[in-house]
Amino acid sequence: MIHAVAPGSAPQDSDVLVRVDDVRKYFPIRTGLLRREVGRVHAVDGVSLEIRKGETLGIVGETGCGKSTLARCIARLYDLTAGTVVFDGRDISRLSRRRMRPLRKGIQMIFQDPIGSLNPRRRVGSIIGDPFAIHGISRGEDRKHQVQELMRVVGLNPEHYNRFPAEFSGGQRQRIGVARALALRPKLIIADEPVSALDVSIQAQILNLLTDLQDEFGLTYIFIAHDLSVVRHVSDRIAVMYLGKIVEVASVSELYARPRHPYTNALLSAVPVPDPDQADQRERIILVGDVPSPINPPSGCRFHPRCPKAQNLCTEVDPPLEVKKDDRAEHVAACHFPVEVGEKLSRARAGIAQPERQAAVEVSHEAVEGAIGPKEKT
Amino acid sequence: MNRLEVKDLTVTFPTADGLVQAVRGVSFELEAGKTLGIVGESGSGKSVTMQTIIGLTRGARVSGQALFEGQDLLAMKSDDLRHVRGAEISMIFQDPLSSLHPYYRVGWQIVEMIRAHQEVSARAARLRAVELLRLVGIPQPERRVDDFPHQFSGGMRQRAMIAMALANNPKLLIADEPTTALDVTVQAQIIDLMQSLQKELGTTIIMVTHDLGVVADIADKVIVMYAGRAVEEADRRTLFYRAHHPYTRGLMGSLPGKGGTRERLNPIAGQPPSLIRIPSGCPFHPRCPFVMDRCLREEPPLLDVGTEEGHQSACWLPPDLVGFDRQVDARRWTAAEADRTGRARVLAKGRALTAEPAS
Repeated sequence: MIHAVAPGSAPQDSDVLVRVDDVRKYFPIRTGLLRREVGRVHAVDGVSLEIRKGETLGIVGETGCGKSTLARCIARLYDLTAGTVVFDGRDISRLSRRRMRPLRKGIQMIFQDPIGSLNPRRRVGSIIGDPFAIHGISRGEDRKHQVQELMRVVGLNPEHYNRFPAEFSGGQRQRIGVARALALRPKLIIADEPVSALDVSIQAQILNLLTDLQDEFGLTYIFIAHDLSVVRHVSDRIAVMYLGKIVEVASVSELYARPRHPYTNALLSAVPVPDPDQADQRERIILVGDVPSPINPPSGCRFHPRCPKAQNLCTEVDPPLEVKKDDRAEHVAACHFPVEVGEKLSRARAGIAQPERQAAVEVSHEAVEGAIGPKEKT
Repeated sequence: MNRLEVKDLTVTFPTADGLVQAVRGVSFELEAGKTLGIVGESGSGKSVTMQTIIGLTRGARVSGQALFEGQDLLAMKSDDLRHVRGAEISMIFQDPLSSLHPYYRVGWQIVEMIRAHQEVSARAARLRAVELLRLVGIPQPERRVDDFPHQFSGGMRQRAMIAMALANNPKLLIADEPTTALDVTVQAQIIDLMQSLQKELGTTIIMVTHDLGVVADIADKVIVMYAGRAVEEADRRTLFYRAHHPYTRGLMGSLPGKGGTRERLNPIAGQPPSLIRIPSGCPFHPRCPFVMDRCLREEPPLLDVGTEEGHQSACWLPPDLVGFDRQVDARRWTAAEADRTGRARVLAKGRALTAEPAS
């Protein structure tokens, strides 16, 4: 199912499960007695995406880049400021809560904090049974059987039906979260940092579980994580976000082999590699400064104040997300001066009007590739 | 000369549920100017070990020695220890927001740190604070020195913490998960900073982390901890390419990114043990695919293994079985099988995830 779309060809409508078009989500900032609006946080600022049936789309980016907000917009946990979300052929962007409810069966979420998302006073069986209760699907013994079957599927002991969340370990609690998300046989599961709170050995158990469930139930995943090696492991395609916008989308192998956006380059080069030889060889791109405030995002390309390749054009014109020269049709990047394969992001170029910056940026594609290892999908 | 020498450190906490055996006899040495990485999962005792060394574990029962340039930190009076801590040893914690006082300006807190240990004027200390903030890459330090912690971003707070930790040019810097709460790009900045400081000032660094990637980047020597003990110790390359202990082997197998995309990972079965009820024999035996009869009864000490100097592992498997490839795993399996009867055989069944011989 994953490769229903030939690389390079535009996906057919029937292959697309979710179509996100120019979605914006602004949060008003209010102060004073009258709660007057004094500004807006541009959390998601014009994102368009397609998620195909059966694939895993990874979304990566730093804290505050809007990846979680985007996910919540897609799940319609937030109302959109602008734009449309089409799920399974139906525009859900303006649906009321009541009309949204039956559709919620199709979209489920898994959250980061397995402790915070489970009520400590309720028994696990009833927590997992919630989706059935809310949607009035089954009751009594029948529901219990279904819940126990779910527990078995996610690798929990069905006999623990009457235990409390505190009696489970972190990894098991995340399995409870997975079971609950799976209960209504959704088409789309949005996993927001599902393994970030777990130790590595437990993290691997959950990643394997998610992969198995996808194969078994033909699920589509949106997988959000700040850990790029995790995202790389589970995803078919990856979207890179920066300050409310998507700066690059490509298949995993393309993105790692030829990242075009300077931010993608920096992000990939910053991931620590658990291999001493590769760690010694590579050159990290050290980005200067912090992510600017999303209340007043920089003009033009939002990355320009930190970008080693920025020129005057970048301060004025926001680059569109488009296919760059020699790239495959599914590989898009939003950059006026995309990074060429083999190019070194030079130390000398200090970028635009940043008096405090000491540009310390150097990387080559060989280094990035060597560090992460070129990867072909099977 | 060794800057730090820890000998048979044991830390227990009496609690209502029983005695928590957080650290159970940890020993190591660290040369001046080197970086030691300590890795392990939650509850392995890595943080408690460090906190005990600098006297931050209240209510704990501690035994053993921690010699810092020959002086035993554990035997010091608290006033003397307070002088060493901050002036010669400093620590960076995971959560910079809770380590900076929200009521005081960042600069003031650094000044305080300097003046607590050095006889300098307030003005000189303030200049030094600005200089430190510049050193750690805070933009416009002359202005930001008067900011409050909440005006700093997460990365800036962590850098301010490092500035504070470096205020008195410590000889030993203990960093406990210093980058865990940060984004990778900021993490790269912080690690870069720590490395260049080490190069310039010859600081000895202990990096406590669960991130094997960070360790592969900066450690000279690595200690892997499990259930309050060091289970393997080696230089960085040996650990990553020729590890001996099945737990280390399991950790590496759990990492995404080494195998191909969507390839199955080889997690370690089960969960880390409770530190109140530590399993008999080798504490890893309930999760180990290579469990043998002996492992159920006797806890293995750190023994020399492999061919590299200083490579030690606490495991009863033959010392020459190091590395990660299938042949070695198959030999591990065979060696374990020879020692298995009854219970060990039952335990090992179905745990062959990492160990299934190619048959």
